[in-house]
Amino acid sequence: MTVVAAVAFAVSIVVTAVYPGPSDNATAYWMVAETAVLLFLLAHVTRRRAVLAPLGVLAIGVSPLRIGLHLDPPAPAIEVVAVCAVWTLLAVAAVGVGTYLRSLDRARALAVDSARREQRLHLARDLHDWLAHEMTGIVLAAQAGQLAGADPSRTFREIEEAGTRGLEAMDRALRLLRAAGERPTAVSTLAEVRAVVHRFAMSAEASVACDIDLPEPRPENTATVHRVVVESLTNVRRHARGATEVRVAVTSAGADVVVEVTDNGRRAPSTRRGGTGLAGLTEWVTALDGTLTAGPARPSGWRVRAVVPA
Amino acid sequence: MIRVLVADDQEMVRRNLRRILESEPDLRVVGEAADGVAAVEQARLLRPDVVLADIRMPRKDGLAVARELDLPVVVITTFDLDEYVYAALRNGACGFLLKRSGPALLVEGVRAAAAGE
Repeated sequence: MTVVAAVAFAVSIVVTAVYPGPSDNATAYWMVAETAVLLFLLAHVTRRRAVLAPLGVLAIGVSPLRIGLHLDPPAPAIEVVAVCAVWTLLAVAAVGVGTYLRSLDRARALAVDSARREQRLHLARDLHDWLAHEMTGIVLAAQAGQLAGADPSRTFREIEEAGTRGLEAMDRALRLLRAAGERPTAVSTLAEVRAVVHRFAMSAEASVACDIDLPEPRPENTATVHRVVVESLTNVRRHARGATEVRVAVTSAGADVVVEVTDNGRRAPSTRRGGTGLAGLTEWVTALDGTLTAGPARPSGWRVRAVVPA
Repeated sequence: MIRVLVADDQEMVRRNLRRILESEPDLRVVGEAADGVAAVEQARLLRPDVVLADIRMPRKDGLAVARELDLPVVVITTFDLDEYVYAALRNGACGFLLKRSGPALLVEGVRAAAAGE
């Protein structure tokens, strides 16, 4: 696009310089249309980089000379200059629009970055807390297990369970860290999301329905869809006891992308440390101006629903 | 006989604290609470000699429990952080113990609190 714009500006200037006349209605129509296209290009390239802005302003600002220099009878110089000034102002306005859009882009990128950093810190804290709690449980169980009259098999079972929960917490933390550290483009296609669901279906006892039917969203949005699906399926695996049906649906609603993961399992009574993965995800989706809701589904089970704006 | 109330949000921790304390002939766990609000309610109802309360619990933390109760409260914690000790003592706790400090220290801590030390 930058190259197209550079060429368009350069050609426009050259044409203005060598145009021999005449200055009839056709020339005027053409010039208006050309101005519109150049203004659009100028705003667009300025949004990316400002280097082409002077060239664009020049091209648009001098273009009225094609008509002004070839009128019969000749136009007063002051009028020609005035028209050129108005055109220049239009061009400057286009640069302003592009610059404003660029500042919005930058603010958005910063917000995503800081959300990601925040999420990592949060994760480190949570990991510390989860692990410390499970380890304390293990130490206490081992201490109690050494007392006279303790039941060794019960002690070992408790230690095993707490150890497993600790490891799961670490797995989850690692996955989240990877997801938080990845560039948003790391998962760029819906095919990869389908593959996640497929892998889950291979190893799950429940029957898994996958309904992903929409035009390919932007890569960042696909990455978010991917995260929502991975995290939700992990929760299904961990918490949805006896689920026989799991449904993953990714659809478009207007410009938004809607992700729904539903199961019909029974939930274990929730604990304080239960939903931290979901909390991180909610933070993430909210940072992208989306919404994420999770709650019981009817008649039974659990549903996670995320709406990601285009 | 020293009657103890154990308050911790982890069931595994409560169960094992009970086992450790009840292995002593002079200690008995008369109640368990999974959060701070339940701990205060149960303490008012059961009037134990000592309350063993986790510093971090849902709804109301161990510091608030120590502040509200006029019973000896020993604050227990997962984390070995100095600021916790000061905060616990400032809030009227009569003792501070790490959960992992071992049966002997736990038992001694409870006995000391019951004796008003």
